[in-house]
Amino acid sequence: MPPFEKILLKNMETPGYTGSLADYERGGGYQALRKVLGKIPPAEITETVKKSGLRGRGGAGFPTGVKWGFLPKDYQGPKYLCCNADESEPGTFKDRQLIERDPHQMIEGMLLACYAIGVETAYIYIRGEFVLGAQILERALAEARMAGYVGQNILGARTSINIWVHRGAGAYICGEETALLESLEGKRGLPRVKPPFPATHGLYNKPTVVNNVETLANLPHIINRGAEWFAAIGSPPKSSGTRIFCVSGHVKRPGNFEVPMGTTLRELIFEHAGGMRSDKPLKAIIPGGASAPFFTPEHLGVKLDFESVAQAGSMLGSGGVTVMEEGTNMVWAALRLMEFFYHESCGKCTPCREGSSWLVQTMRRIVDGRGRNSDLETLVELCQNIAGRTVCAFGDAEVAPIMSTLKYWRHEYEELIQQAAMSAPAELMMPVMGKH
Amino acid sequence: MGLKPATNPEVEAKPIELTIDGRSVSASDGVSLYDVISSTGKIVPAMCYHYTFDPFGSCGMCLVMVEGKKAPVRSCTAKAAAGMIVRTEGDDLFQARKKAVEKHLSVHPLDCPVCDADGHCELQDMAFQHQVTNLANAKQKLIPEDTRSLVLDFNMNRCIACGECINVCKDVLMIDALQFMKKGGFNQVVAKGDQPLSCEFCGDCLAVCPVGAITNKFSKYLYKPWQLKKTTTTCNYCGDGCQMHVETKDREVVRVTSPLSWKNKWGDRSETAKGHGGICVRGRFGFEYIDSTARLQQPLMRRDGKLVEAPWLEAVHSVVDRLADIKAKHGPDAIAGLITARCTNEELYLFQKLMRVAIGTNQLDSSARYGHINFVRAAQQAVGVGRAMNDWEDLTKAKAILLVGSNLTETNPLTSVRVKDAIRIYKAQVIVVDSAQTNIARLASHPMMVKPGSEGVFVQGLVKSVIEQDLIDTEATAKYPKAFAVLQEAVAKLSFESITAATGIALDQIHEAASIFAEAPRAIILCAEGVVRRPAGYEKILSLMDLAWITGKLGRPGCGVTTVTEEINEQGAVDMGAAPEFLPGQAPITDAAARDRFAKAWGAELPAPEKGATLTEILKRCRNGQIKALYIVGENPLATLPKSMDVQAALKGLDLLVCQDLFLTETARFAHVVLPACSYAEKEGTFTNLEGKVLRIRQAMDPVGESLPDWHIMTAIASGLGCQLDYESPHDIQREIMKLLPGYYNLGQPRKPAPDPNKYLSNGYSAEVKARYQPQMEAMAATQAAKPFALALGQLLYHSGKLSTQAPGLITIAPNTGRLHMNAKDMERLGLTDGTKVRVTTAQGKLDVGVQADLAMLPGSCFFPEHFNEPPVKDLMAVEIDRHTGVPYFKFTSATIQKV
Ligand SMILES: Cc1cc2nc3c(=O)[nH]c(=O)nc-3n(C[C@H](O)[C@H](O)[C@H](O)COP(=O)(O)O)c2cc1C
Ligand code: SF4
Ligand code: SF4
Ligand code: SF4
Ligand code: FES
Repeated sequence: MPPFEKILLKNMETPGYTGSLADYERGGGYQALRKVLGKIPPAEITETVKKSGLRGRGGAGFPTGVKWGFLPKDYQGPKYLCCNADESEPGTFKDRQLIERDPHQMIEGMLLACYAIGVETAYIYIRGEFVLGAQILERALAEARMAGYVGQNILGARTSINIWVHRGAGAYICGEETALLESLEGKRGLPRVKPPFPATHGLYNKPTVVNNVETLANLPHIINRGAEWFAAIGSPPKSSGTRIFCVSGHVKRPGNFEVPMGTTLRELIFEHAGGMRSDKPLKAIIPGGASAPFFTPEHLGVKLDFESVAQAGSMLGSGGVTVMEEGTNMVWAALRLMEFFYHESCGKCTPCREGSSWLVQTMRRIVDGRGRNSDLETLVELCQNIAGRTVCAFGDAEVAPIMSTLKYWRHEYEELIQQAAMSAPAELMMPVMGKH
Repeated sequence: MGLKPATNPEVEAKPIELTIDGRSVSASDGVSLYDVISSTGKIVPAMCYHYTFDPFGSCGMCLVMVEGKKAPVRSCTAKAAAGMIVRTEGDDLFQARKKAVEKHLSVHPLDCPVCDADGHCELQDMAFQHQVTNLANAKQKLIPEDTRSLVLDFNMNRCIACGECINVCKDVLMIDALQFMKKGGFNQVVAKGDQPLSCEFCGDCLAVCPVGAITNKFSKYLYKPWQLKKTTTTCNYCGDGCQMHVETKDREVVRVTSPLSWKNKWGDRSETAKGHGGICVRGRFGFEYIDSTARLQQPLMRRDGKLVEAPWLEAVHSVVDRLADIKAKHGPDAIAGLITARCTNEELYLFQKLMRVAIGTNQLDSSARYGHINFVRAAQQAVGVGRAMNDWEDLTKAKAILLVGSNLTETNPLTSVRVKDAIRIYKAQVIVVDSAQTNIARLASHPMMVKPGSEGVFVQGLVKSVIEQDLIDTEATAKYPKAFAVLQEAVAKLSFESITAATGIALDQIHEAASIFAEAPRAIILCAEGVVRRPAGYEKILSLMDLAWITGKLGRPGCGVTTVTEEINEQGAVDMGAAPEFLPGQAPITDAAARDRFAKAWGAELPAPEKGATLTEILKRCRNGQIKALYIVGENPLATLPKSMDVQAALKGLDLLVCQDLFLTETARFAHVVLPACSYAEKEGTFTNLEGKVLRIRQAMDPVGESLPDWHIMTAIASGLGCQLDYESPHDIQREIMKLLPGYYNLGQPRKPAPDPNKYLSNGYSAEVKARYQPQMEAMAATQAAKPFALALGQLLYHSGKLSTQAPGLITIAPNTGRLHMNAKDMERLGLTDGTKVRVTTAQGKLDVGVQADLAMLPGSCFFPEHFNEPPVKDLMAVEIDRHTGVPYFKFTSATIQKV
């Protein structure tokens, strides 16, 4: 393997880099746009992206070029691009850094995508809490407009592309692409039934592409250096390029690390993130954001690419890697995650809405030392009746923490329940007269 | 969104085969798998599904196993595909569904004993069906009830968040008044923005709510569903003629429900083109007039100047004796009669027979004279069929709809739902020509907000544009070269400049509208109150017929010229001959053969046609003493017509005024005898709706007080006058009508007449066409300068005629504000705020009235609801009488407005 060179974080890790337009241009910024605009036909860009093997970094890992290809050909009327900057998955914080530290990189990516798919109006749907990020993007867009990169007839060409920043109002579900579109339309962010997919019926019912920040940020580099260059990085053919992994938890050096896909978990945690924070050994890892099933130390050898992680029973997801040391109460950890999902369920689907509430009740009972023997069965049954029975993938995601902790740490649940039975005060076990 | 629109008539769905529970089933590719399953008669539980909207996919009940898939799939959002092997039953599925039901029950208040839905609740049904017996997990949400709306209460403890209410309101009705909102940790249904609900109050959300989460304020806690007697009948408000269920307990109407219900969730989406089963606010909440305490309980007779109660026998004898006396002294033409188009066909038929045979006069008219007769006469003249040419299905599937002068969502809400379906599912282009920003204009692709009163000019513009842009259907025009030449010549005299000046619409918009209409394969013109009730209504309709003819839309399937009516049976009134110019079946009174036929059937001589009189002529003859006795059934001319018609003088001069009504109306207060009549809920009969469907009404309860059905009273009077009629029920009358008008009773099927312009285009056409293409600008411009405001009387959604003002529910929703509706900018300009008094001056006089801002009003126009006479804005109106049809026009005038 050739010595590894960072792609996405390279600029911002250069000392003195401020993310301003001047800085970005100095590092070769907007060259990709200049290279293609009016010179290379849009369809060819889509082909290049297809050939590069770039897959979505938002969670599902769908091949980006293929997604673009689903837009109806020769469509008359408006089409839209939405940059999904809602990053709300617990343990994930890579988009935030890309936005705050190098906004022009993703803006150029958006411009390239717009050009490729013939979009004149694009939106950045940014998580409401990212106040700073939104300000930085607004400032960067103002700079880009002044410089003629964004707006009418960009760089004097016939292409016009406008980009607008839209701030969310703090709902995790609005990261789901169709909920995002609803929210962008001014409605409550409830996911839509798919199909039809956004590619044909998206924003305002018009053909729309939704792409993640990191996905888009890769585009200038692919255009500048070619599909073959990109395709060779990482673990081709299915997982080309790098990933920014957000390592958090009980490690020495939490943070964002850009590594080629296919890097092992061991390398990521012990080399890049500096290993465990204390002498306690590793106990559990979430490899791809809160929606991804847990891994155990046995999985340290798993390569971080789409296929290997999936084969090992989890998913690469959003790249959020959460590390937990020995001594962590796994039931409690699962409850904490479940509480997040319960709070964030949009409430559309009964299995998810009532199921998550029921799961939290049951989990809380176990953690509080009031568990019953039948509870484990209840948990499994509830989980099985949520996954696959809901409108959006949230339903599948929310059962991951409980199902995977039950798989690897079932004994912890059982112990809690046994203790409950032993220590339960007598009055809980039999009716006591005269007590209120 | 969603999968369903396999309803596009343009696309032939591919037939496929799949296997369901071992049986091979054929279906159309791409439709919802659930629909395919339910079309085989299998009922898979589904709690968020209703066939009228796209699948929502949220409840997780409709699970089935599809071969090749590990986990069960939700059949409502899955697409049927060729070769699928589907299993809908089995313990695994049963258990999975049971889990879903348990989830609902885990947060349900279980306050069934006090719930309106008890015994009529999908959650109860599902819990029972799935043997859910353990409710140990139930927890309470403790959400306070939202009682802020005037009509519906929201008890969100009971809500199962199926979204059906939201979806029906958004998808089917395109009103979109509801939304989910997470409040207090629970997902709840709230009105948009968590405001008090203020919408069209159709109550369709209430109808589809499968539990008791949405309740009807007017009947909450009054009943248990199983105590109610349910009678299926036809609504008696507007010409839509919706089917509905009147539900009664003892002698009280408790509620009205619609065929649209969560119970009827299975159906074929394309069938909604014929109606989705919903009803509107008037039908659902306007029932309380039926058992109102203001209803007349007993006949009244005038004694010493006062109306006092009298027994039926005495009242009828007195009426008969005095009529006989007047007839003997002054001849039959000293007597005249008026009837409301809210009577049944049988009663309308009997009324004209009573007038023509028992009394012997042709001085009779109905409320169809206020406008609908214009359409009937114009259509008769042009194409030989005096009725609307299209049914709801045509409207739904039209590619272009030209709506002229119709506030459709308010006047005929369910017809408007068809137009909405046309827009939403069939992607119709809708051109709305109106001088108010109506709801339907907001939904239309091409709203043409013309200057007040210039709808007719706009239509002239369309005809001219079709001819000059060469959008004509040459096949249609080539048959009548002479007629076409005359039309061309007439139109050539008009100038686009003056048309655009008069209408305020740019020329390219007129051209665009013309080409959309002309080029659509299925195009319908719908004209209503803004045409038929405004000056030159008859001629404007004929111009619309011209437009339809030259674009080839006459006689082509799915095309035509259509109208809607304000009262349910205006079409029936004309069809039954309750008009001086028509015998039953719209046979011209002057037609010798028809006269002969009816004379024979009735065993009597018919009155001479030339002595006939329409509404306004009758009133005139009352005033000048020619008419001495007037028999009024359900009409209230005193409250309807402007002062300048001097109705009061006409009534005062009479020797005998008989009013037969539900209420002691303004007119009835002048009567010598008042006869209490039954409402539609207390009798049997039929109505003919605007589609020409003959629809049954059924008796839901015993008559109020001593009131009797109109047919019963009329039979008694006729018999007393020596015209022995032995009708014992409306069915006897029906039998007679059936003999005379074979095929009229069409079992509720829409009537699709075959319009034929041949006679008109080859004969009378050339002589009269020029008259209707006279430039009208100068006169209009002159009045506009002198009296800059257009003042219109019109209908509100929440009311129908004056009848609905007797319904407390509707009055709660829409009381008489007594205010003139104005454009907000105009108000600002004149320094007015809500409630400020202004002086309105017209040629007829002046009046001080408060104002209110109305978003629908365009600058320069103002509006007052015609249902109310307080203050008497109607008296500011001049009356112009149509020279062809005798229709009195008094809904529109010019005025000045000043702050007082
Ligand atoms: C519950 C849920 C939450 C999601 N949140 C995000 C998010 O915060 N950011 C994101 O980029 N994608 C998120 N996604 C994935 C998006 O739906 C979508 O797949 C993605 O934006 C597509 O972009 P990509 O193809 O570039 O990955 C979420 C999906 C689900 C089901
Ligand atoms: S699965 Fe949950 S989050 Fe997704 S649409 Fe359904 S209720 Fe909303
Ligand atoms: S009453 Fe009708 S308009 Fe109002 S919210 Fe319910 S469905 Fe919508
Ligand atoms: S109010 Fe009724 S119809 Fe609406 S979501 Fe709740 S249960 Fe469903
Ligand atoms: S009916 Fe299919 S999910 Fe509710």
